Amino acid sequence: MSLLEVDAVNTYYGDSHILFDVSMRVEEGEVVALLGRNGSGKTTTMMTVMGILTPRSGEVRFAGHTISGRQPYEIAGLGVQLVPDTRRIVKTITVQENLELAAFSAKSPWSLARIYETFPRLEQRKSFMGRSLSGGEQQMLAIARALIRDARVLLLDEPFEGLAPIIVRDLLETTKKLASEGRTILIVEQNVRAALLLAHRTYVLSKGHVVLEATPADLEARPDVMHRYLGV
Amino acid sequence: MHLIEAQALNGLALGAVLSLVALGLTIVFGLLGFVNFAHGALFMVGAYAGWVVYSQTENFFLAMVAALVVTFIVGLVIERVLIRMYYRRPPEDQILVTYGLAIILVEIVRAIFTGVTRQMPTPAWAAGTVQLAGIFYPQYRLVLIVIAAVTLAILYVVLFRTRIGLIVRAGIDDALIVNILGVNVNRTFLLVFALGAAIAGFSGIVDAPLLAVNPDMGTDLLVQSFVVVVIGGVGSFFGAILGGLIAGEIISLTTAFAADYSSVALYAAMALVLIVRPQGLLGVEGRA
Amino acid sequence: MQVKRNALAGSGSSAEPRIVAALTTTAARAACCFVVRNVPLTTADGAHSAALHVIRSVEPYDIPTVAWIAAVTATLSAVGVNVRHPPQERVRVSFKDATAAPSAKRGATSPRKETDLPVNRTEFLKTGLGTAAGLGLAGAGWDWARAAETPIGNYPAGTEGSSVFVGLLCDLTGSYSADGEDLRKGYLLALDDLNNGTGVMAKIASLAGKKGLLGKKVEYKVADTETKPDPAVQHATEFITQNKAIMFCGGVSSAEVIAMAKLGQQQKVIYMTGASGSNDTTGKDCQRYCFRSQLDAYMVAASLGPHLVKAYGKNRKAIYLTPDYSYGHSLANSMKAETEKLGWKTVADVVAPFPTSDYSSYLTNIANSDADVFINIEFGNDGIASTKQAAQFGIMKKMQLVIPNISTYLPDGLGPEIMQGVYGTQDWYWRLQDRYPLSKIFVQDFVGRWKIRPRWTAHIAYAQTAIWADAVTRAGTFNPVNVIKTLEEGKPTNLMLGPVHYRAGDHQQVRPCPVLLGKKPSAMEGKDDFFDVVDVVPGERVMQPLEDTSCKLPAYS
Ligand SMILES: Nc1ncnc2c1ncn2[C@@H]1O[C@H](COP(=O)(O)OP(=O)(O)OP(=O)(O)O)[C@@H](O)[C@H]1O
Ligand SMILES: [Mg+2]
Repeated sequence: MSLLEVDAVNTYYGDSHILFDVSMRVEEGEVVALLGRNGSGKTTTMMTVMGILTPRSGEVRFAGHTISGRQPYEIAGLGVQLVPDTRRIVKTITVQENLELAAFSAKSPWSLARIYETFPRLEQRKSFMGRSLSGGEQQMLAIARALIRDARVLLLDEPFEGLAPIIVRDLLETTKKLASEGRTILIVEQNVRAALLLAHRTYVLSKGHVVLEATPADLEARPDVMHRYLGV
Repeated sequence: MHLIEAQALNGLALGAVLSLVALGLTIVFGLLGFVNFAHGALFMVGAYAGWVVYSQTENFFLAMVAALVVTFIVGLVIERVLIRMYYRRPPEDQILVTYGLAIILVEIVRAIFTGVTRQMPTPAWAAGTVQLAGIFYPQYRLVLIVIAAVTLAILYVVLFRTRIGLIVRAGIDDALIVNILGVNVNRTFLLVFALGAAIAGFSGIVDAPLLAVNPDMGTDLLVQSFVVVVIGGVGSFFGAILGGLIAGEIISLTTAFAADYSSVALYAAMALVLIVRPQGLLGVEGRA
Repeated sequence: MQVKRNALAGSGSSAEPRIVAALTTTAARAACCFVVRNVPLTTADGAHSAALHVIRSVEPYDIPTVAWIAAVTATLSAVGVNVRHPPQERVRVSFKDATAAPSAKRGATSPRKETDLPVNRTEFLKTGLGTAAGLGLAGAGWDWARAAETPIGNYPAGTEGSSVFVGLLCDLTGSYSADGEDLRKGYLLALDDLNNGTGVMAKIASLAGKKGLLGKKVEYKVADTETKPDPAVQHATEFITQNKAIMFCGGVSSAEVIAMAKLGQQQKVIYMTGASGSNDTTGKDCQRYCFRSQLDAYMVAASLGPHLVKAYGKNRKAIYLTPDYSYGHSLANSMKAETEKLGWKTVADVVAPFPTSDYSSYLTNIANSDADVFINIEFGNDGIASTKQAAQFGIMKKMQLVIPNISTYLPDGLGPEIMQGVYGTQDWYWRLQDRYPLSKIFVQDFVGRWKIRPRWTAHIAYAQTAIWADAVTRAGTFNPVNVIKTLEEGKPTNLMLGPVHYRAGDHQQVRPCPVLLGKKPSAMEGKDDFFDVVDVVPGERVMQPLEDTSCKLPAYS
């Protein structure tokens, strides 16, 4: 049994059908990349896993529990943690309060000290309001909020998007370190190179369908697929 | 003390009450994403709950407690059985349901207590006048300023120094991320709605010695406190206070010199704020 | 906002919350909309006016109906029946433009099933009219002789059935709601007495031994004016056009009364005022079709002035607090004229908008003036709030309070501590039962029916209905022209204040004017024993000379 299983999920926005029988699985300790062009349904998949959207049919299972149909806070309580593409830093509270907020309901939260060790930059900014952070800092905080909860699965939706290359490099290092420590990660990334560097396995989405499951090596060996579905 | 200073003091007393009422409105508005049009009715329910207890006990403190408790419970019940069903419904339904609720609350109170205005006297210990630099000023209005200030201070501590306060403040900015971060927002919403109701009810009883206690007493206040929320910024604690004080002073000072223009001036101020700073003076830009 | 709503949605698939949601939505919509009987919500533009319409249209005192309709519609929608009507007939409360997000943004993954509960106005009307027509035909006592008369107003159309209709306009909500409720109770007692041939009605010579009016039952409906002229006129219009009202009556503020009087004149339907103290009602705004019984401002001032001067002396300085509309200005001006004539000075007239709830700014000015008499013209809840706040400002320690026109429940809201020693007038006060036998019967019957003693608005309601009924009976027809002419003859009707009649030139009632003085709390016998009646001034002595009223009565037809 895989840690996270998405089983023949169909998700809609109102009347528009977005995900068509999407199935995928993520094993414990694995890093899986979800790839696809703009609008192919990657974010929708992540939101369906997190319980923000409810599939009309199909099921999402985590560690043996059916989680589709549950509220996000319940799913978070089981150890699934989305780091949304828009980061959603709470603007009106401080950096430290953002972290405390995340830690409240966690079973075994990291200490603030451990978080600040991982992200020294956040310690410097700890009493700043969420709205005053730069893009890179916001992304660090978004990931830190998931880490402080000691989530079993991290759902990273485009963590490197819109960041300066030097920051991307830093974050990439951090993510690699997390992966090497055995944390399970499902990552969506436009930056296919970066994603392939991290991932053990990949799924390719197109117009809401899973069109391919492959290892990074297989994928790189098929430039036609790369071009057709990923525009690379 | 000059007349103008006395008028400024009037504005402060009025503003204190407006701040309090608007604060209840603004946190509920901020968190739930829609205006609770029953807020004025809850103000009235608080005044009646307090009046009932006061007429039995002649104890103003007990009356305040009664207003708080009754409206808190009413708030809990309303959120649980009605408002909760509306979070995912279109805005016009949400507006309608709280409007309908306001009507129902007012009519229930009218059915029980009739439309006759009830006599809520000034508590004896605050019934006199005090002399401030040559001008006599009602002691109760000063007490009211103190009560409002203390209440706001308590609410400040709750909102800014406690765990639930942090959740509420975060929820006002972005309820979804709070949900995603594992907090049971349903419980938070329930609590905040009841808290908002209790603030309205409490404002109702402390304002009752100034007003005519009758089923329609909350109607006008709702409009004014909504203006305060718009001026101060939706969901902002200090915005409600600043907006309340500004509105209080505008109303008092314009009535003192050009009574006809007092509400015009208030709406003009609101329009000005909306043009210059659409999110309100202390509101956060781009919130949901 | 976009995803926030989703989050709240949680799972949209489970059936139970959806049923509950449908239930509550429909219940709430039912409460808000379905009871909207006659108001076209289609005219509503923007959230504010739509909401006002909704509020305005819900009849108070009708909770059982609301609950019943809510229950039925909720059940219907829970079992999946959509109550739908043709779209053009649907009453839409449109907030969409202002507030709604594009539907995609609401983003529930399953489509939202909307349960519409439109109000079909025409349907209501059709049923109503159909029933009315049916009843009319059934009871067709078609009188060919009468049909030959020139129709005027709702005559003879409104008199062709076995009953006639009277529209009652009462301020059930808003600033004067307590007075309006008393008014309503008075009308109901009057009309029941009329239909049953009981009570004070039976003591009127022309009505003695009869039931109903000219052999017809008098039907009625009550509508809420909200203490505002617009809804008052709107409901009165409905009574005239839909119910074919042969007479309508009510209103507690002069603003409403003057507006309804205009309507009566336009539509040629007799309008008997409720409470109205402005001189304009029978002065510059007087109408042929309108009759007013309450003392006008001039009579209040002329009755009260001499008592004030007697009690407080000649050299006094008065300051006024006045609500900014016809009644307020009228009474303040009459009081100023009268007291100045008797030697007082007017320091200032502080005018506040109507309604107001916080009077601190006005009272600060009053408290810091050098006046020694505070004349509060404010009325209803405004009268209570302003007087209460004036006491807090210590004004009554420096000045003598006078309330020329004491609204019905004002003493209850203020308490006897404030009311003691306060001079004022009321249209009628229950203690007058010691002087007038019919007042005694009126009080008894009223208490028997409503378990509380009547206040003066109930007196107006009863008296106005009785005088109209007397005139109709004496005229022998509902034809308004004949009824008006009968009333203008000036033949008195003996009622709770003895014989009273209307002056032909302006339709102001000539009637005794009670002057009251607030009792000490220790002297009160019972909770509503607030006043001593210090004088009852004969009306003839205090009427404004007709030539000073600027009344020009319009034509009969
Ligand atoms: N709130 C919404 N309402 C309706 N349709 C939506 C909504 N959000 C997204 N969509 C549509 O759903 C489809 C999938 O969107 P999604 O955001 O999942 O794509 P994505 O793969 O994450 O794209 P990107 O690379 O741009 O982030 C798109 O066609 C998009 O237009
Ligand atoms: Mg995306």
